[in-house]
Amino acid sequence: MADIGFVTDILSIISLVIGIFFLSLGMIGLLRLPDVYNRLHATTKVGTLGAFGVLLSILIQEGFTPMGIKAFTVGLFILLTSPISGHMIARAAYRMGVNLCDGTCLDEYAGKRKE
Amino acid sequence: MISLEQADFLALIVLVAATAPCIYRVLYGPTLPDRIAAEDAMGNALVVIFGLYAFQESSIFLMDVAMLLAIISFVGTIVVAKYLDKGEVL
Repeated sequence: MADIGFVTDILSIISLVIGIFFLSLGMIGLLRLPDVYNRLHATTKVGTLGAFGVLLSILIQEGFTPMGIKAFTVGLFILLTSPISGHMIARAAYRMGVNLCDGTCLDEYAGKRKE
Repeated sequence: MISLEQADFLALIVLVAATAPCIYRVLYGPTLPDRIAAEDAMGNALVVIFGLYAFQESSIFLMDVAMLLAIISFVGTIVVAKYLDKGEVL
């Protein structure tokens, strides 16, 4: 009795749970990590995967209707633009003079900071 | 076995609870790039909230709101980062 609606429901719920889990994990990382660069590491990678998972679950549930295609477009846009904004924030923070946390063991740009 | 509508409602509750660390980081962040990073993360979470709410209400226009919010959030983050870097926007 392999119904196609049942299969898409299961896939949609799996994708939704993965997305919600990773997005909550990114927010907890934003709260708990010690440094600007570590917090950007949490939000721009983990949070982006979470957002894309949730919007992909909407596409799986709706099929190729206008709402599903719009949701997938929003997910692709987040997947393209979130690393760029994270890179810009990290570069501005480093050139602004925000110090790294105490547990840092390697800083390759140490002598090249803009005065 | 819960239904899909109940799953989406629970997901909305979890997402609204997940914006609380961003608000804390915007209010009490030690440095200025902390606040910008928190604002960017909260923009992503709000886009997902609008998308799920549009799916739950089955309204296409709320999905347009989500797309517009994603674009505005990206442009705002880029502008503030460039301002912090160079001291001017363009």
